[in-house]
Amino acid sequence: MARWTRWTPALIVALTAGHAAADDIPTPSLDWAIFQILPSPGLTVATAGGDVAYTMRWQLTPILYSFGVRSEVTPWRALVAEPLVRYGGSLELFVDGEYTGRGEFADRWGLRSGARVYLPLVQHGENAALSFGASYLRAAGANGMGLELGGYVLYGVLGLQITYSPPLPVGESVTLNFVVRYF
Amino acid sequence: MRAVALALALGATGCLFTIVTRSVAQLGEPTRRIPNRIAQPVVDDARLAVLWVGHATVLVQMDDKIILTDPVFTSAVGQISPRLVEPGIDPANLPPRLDAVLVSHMHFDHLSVGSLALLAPRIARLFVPAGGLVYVPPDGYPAQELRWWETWHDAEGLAITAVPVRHVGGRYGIDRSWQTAAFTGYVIQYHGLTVYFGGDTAYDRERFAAARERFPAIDLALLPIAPIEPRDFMSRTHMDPAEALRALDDLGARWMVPIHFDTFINSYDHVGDAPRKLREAMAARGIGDDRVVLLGQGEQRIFIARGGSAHPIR
Repeated sequence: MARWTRWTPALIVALTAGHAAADDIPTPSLDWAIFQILPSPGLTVATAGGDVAYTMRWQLTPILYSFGVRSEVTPWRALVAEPLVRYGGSLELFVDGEYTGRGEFADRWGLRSGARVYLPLVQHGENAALSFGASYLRAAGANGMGLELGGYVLYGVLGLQITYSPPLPVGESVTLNFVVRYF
Repeated sequence: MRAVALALALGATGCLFTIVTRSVAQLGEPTRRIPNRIAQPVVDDARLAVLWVGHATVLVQMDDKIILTDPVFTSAVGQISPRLVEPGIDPANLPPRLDAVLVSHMHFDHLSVGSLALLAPRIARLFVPAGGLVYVPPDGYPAQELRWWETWHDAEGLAITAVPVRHVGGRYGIDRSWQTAAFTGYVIQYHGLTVYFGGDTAYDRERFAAARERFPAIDLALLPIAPIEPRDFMSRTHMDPAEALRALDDLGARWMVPIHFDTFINSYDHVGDAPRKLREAMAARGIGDDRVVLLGQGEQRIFIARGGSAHPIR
C-alpha cells in the first residue's frame, strides 16, 4: 500500500474506536485515483446579463458519515465511499476543485468546500438519490457561497447538481453541473 | 508484459461493452411469463425439495426449514440488465418465514437490494461472505458475515458453513480490490441432509475437493453452469456445463441442480445454450438425468420424500 493511502484507515480506526466494524475499509488505490481525475462538466450562468461559462469540478470527500448502513458496519469513510454507503443516506464534507472558463487563466480556478446530505429515493439510493448542501467558494480572489440541490442515478455514477450562488459579495449565478462520479 | 496486460484490459472492456449493449437492447422487451407458477412451495411430505426461481435464486426445503439463495425478484439487475423470464414464484407466495437467506456475493445478479427490501419481513437471518455486510441495507432482519469454513447453527440443528469457491468480490468494479474474500459457497446441513450451494464460481478442483473432505455426504449440489462465452474471459470466474459436471464429481454429490443460466444477459450466451451444452456434456460423461436434474424456472422437485423415497419426483 502506498504511503499516501495509509492515513485513511488510520483516521477511520481513530473515528470508530470501539465500533464493531464488519467491513473492510476502502482505501484509495491507483484505479480509484484515475477515476477521480474525470471532471464533472457544467455551465455557470450569471443571472445578471446572462453571461454563460462552462465549468469543471473535481470532487473529493475528506470525510463522510453514513446513516444508511447497518449498525455492524463502520459508518465513516475518508476519500473512498461505496455508492450504497454514500447514496443510501449520508452526510459528506466535500472539497471540490473548480474551473470556470472565463477571465484570466489564474482566476479560473477555485476551491469549493462544504457539506452535503444524501438521501436515498429508490433502492437505498442505488437507483436514485438526491442531495442538498451548502458550500463556500474561494475563486478569483473573492469569496462566495452556494446552495445546492442534486439528483443521482445509476449508483451515483450520473447526476445533476444545481448550485445557486447568491450575490454575496460577487454576482449572483446559477451553476448546472452534470455529475460524473465513480466512488 | 505490459502488452499482455493491455490486451487483457482491452479484451475485458470489449467483452463488457458487448454484454452491456446486449442487455440494454433487451430493455423494454417483454419478460417471458411462466404459466401456473407454484403458489404453495412448501411440500408437506418432502424432506428435501428444490424450486428453481431463476438464475441463482433457489428455494430449498429441508424438512421444516426453508432456505432461499441469492434472492433476486426484481425486473432487472444493475438497472440495465432486464429479466428474460419472470421469477419462478411470486414473492407473495414465498413461505412467511425464510429460515436462512444466503447471499453468495455482492454482484447485482446475486445481491438485490430491492428484493431484500421486499422479503425483509420474512427473513429470519441473512448470511453474506466476509466483507459483504456493507452492502446489506438495514432493513430490520439480522444479518451476518461468514468467513470461509466458518459455521453458524441454530438451536434446532440447522447448520450453515461458508465454503471457498473461485470468483471475484465487490459490487461496482474497483471495490473488488479490497473485497478480496467477499464471495463464497455454502453448505447447508439439517436433519442429516446436506446441500451445497456453489453461488457463482469458476472451476477449482482443490476447493471442491476440500468441501468434499469436510462434507463427505452431500446430497444435492446447486451448481452454476454459465455464463459460458467468451470462454477465455469467463473461465476465470465461471464454470461451463462440462466443468460443473467435474465439480459434481469432485464434490461427490448425489444429485445436481444446475443454476445461473437463461435468466439475465451476462455473457455472449443465448437462451438455451447452457442447457444444450449441459446435455451434451452429460451424454459424453454418461451422466443421466436421474443425477443431474435440469429444472425450468418455477419448476420444483422433491428429491427425498418422507417415508424414504429418494428419487427426483414431482
